[in-house]
Amino acid sequence: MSEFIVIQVGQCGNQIGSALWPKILQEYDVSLKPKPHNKPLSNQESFSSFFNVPPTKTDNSYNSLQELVNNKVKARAVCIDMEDGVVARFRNGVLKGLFEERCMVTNYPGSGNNWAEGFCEHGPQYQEKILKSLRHSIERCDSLHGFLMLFSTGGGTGSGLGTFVLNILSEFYPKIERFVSCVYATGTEDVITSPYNNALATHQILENATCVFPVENRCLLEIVARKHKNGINEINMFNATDDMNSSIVDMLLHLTSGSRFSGTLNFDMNDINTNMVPYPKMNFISTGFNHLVKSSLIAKNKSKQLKEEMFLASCNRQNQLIQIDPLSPKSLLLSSTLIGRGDYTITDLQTYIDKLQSKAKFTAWSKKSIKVGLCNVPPNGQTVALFSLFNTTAMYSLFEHLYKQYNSLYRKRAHIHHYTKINNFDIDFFEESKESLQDMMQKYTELENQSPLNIPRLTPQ
Amino acid sequence: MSVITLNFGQCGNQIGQTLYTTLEEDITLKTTNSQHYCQSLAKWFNVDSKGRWKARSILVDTESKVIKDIKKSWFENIIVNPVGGSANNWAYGYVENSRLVVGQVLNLVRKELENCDFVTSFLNFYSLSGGTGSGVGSYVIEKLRNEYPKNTIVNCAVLPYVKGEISTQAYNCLLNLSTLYSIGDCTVLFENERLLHLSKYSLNLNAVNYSNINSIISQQVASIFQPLGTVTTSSLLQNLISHPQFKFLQIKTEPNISNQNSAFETPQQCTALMNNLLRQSRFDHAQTNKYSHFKVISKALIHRGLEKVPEYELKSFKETRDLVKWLPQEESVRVYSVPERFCYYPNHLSVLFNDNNILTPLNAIVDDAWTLFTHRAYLHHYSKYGLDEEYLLNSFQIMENVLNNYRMI
Ligand SMILES: Nc1nc2c(ncn2[C@@H]2O[C@H](COP(=O)(O)OP(=O)(O)OP(=O)(O)O)[C@@H](O)[C@H]2O)c(=O)[nH]1
Ligand SMILES: Nc1nc2c(ncn2[C@@H]2O[C@H](COP(=O)(O)OP(=O)(O)O)[C@@H](O)[C@H]2O)c(=O)[nH]1
Ligand SMILES: [Mg+2]
Repeated sequence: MSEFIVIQVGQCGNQIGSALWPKILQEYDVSLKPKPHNKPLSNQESFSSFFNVPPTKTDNSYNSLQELVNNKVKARAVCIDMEDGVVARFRNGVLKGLFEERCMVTNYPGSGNNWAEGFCEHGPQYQEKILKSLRHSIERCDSLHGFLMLFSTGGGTGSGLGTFVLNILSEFYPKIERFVSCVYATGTEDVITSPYNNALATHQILENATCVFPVENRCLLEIVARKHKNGINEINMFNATDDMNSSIVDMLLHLTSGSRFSGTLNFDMNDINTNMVPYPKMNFISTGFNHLVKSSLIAKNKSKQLKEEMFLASCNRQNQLIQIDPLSPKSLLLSSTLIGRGDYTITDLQTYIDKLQSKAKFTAWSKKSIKVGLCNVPPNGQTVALFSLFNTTAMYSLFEHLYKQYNSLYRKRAHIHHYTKINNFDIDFFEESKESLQDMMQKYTELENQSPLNIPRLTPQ
Repeated sequence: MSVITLNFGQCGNQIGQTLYTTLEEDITLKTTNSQHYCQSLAKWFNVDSKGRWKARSILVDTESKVIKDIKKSWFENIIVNPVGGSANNWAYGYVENSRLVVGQVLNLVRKELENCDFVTSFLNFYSLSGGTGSGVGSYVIEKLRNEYPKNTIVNCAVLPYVKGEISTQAYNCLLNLSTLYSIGDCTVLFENERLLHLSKYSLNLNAVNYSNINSIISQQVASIFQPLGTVTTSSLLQNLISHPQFKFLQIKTEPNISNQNSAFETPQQCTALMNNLLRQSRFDHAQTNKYSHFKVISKALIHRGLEKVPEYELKSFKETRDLVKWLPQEESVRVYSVPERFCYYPNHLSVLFNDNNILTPLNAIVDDAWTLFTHRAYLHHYSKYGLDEEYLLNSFQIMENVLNNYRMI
């Protein structure tokens, strides 16, 4: 079974992690509190995707977290933070005992919301320790398929040390795919230097990640507001972090579902890169699914209509984790993936392909750049769900946003001394990152303006 | 005369499992220990010392989920190297993952051959559009051919939906077909598009799943390759492939039903079945290729059942205007009759066609691949494994030549 190692870096990364693990446990019916009756894990074959079970243990019938801990079952996770507040939860909180002590790397007192501190200082300083944790986790895998990195780009630790770890991975484990889900703190900008951190981190991500599933906080906030039917003003980062992170977690569970559960047309995590990335570096991918599933309505309903609603929701701009509209007439789809989970048939998927192809706009070559998949197991509590991935030239706007914010600081050279004072920080990092963003903007623009080539096929000989 | 099947990737393995279920069904419906029963059983299964049936089949995949779901105990030759699949990338399958399994496959083939009394054909199942079936399959079949230059190799290959279900499907199909066309004795093409259509309209299914499509494919394959009296599989195929430039075959069968209960509701007489076969062909002509007129190089009708196919039906089957002129009619059209029912059908007809209908799907594949190629899309996934543009151009050339031959008939 495909295995993944989750690498969570910084406050944001670890907070997402602390929302992720309970939900994974829930998927396998393991309760956080002790439970009396004994029944085998649901979907037990795929349990090893996220957990290492000692070889002596064979019957996989765990009901509660306590049993996992007693049996030395460990999460495949590496938790890194330069503060210890959040990671302390894994040491002492509800999930106590599920994480390996030697896979937790912490320090005090953070990276000062400074990418350079994380990347240039803590990186080299902790490289050996981090490599050790990685080696330890990798040795416990039979068929490791990917690293799943979680961090935000706006701060210092996740942004700087996170991208440093990403570089280590690509240097030491070049053949193992590196999936990055990074949070852009748009709409919750609480860090003055975050435009720098965003740009510097994004450049590294573009250089080293296999596929990127970016998330914007402003999209999460809107989703939370819709969930609670409140206006956006009343919802903020302080009272909504948990809800916001739960949307990210749902996305990650969808994303890995194909590698963990069977389906008559299964999709493995390493299919994503091949299908979704038509050119090198064009690997920022938007994810969409219905975030507002009302459990009462879903419980028994499997109707065609519900299935179709799930499809429509997954293409809707309100359900993307990036502020873009995949179906906008102004942008072009480069590639798409539709994953039906639960009771979908190939006829359903065919209908949706037709709809997508008639609604969206494409380049001269991308109309058939579509991947479909079927996964037998729907998300917990749902009978059906549809998850989609889009690679679209609308991603331009994310890079433009990052570029503009960055430039408004950099034009005045504001705050750059915080960066230049760090040992090993090279002012070129700024220039390179800027060029990297510009380069992406140009790539998307070129694709939008690409005129179709009509080169005749080869003549038979 | 026995058959060893090799099943590659998800598609190949799912079809493989359904195929043996169909075969078991067909064999157990025959009079135990009759000659036909013994022949059929010996063709597909080994019987072990405890009397258990073991499929003469080798299952190969690069991820574990499909194989893990196998319910039947028939399958003992399973090779899974769980690297998480071949990423829908022919090059990854062909260049890297194939090396992890090829030795084991050939060993198991040798072992299976020791258990066969008679000359053996290989029947390979895979989809053209993924990475494992298409890529690993290509490499292993090349090696199989090296080791067994004289045995009949039949490749049963599944074509994807034309509208797209894998971004790189056109490349993967192109690369497989251009690699294996000269290597197999023939390639039987199954179009998911057409089979979906058939399931929808013939079977009256609103929601089609792979199980429906796979059971049609399995019945088609079984009805062709079950013993044909004294005619061997290789001579059946030799008669159809009279020219090495034309090695694609397609199958049409009647009736097609999804379960035993509806067997009684479908027509059972040969005349009605012949009519339905014609109707299926009309679907082809409705969407037929713009490139040339419909031409048949050769075809074979196989009738299994107790009724006799009426003479006038056979006559009209033989005397169609669509036959190529350069082969005498008695060489291009053959009829085989086996007085044994097939599965639960009182009468069953299958036709193997060697005709230029395949131009429609194959031309679409080359077109799609060419569009991607000229826009340089997805090329980096292939160059990563050493498949440069030259390599792809060469594959394009091979396919253009093959298609051109079909256009010229
Ligand atoms: N008829 C039929 N087609 C199938 C089936 N399963 C998959 N396919 C088709 O096969 C193609 C996908 O290839 P797979 O067989 O899943 O790929 P694979 O060989 O396992 O290769 P990778 O997954 O890329 O490693 C698509 O075109 C599907 O429509 C099946 O059971 N029956
Ligand atoms: N969605 C989300 N965003 C967060 C979370 N925690 C922090 N952020 C955002 O990430 C940015 C700061 O990064 P943080 O992770 O705190 O810094 P680090 O610990 O130095 O990596 C801020 O702009 C926050 O808005 C979280 O749990 N969820
Ligand atoms: Mg597969």
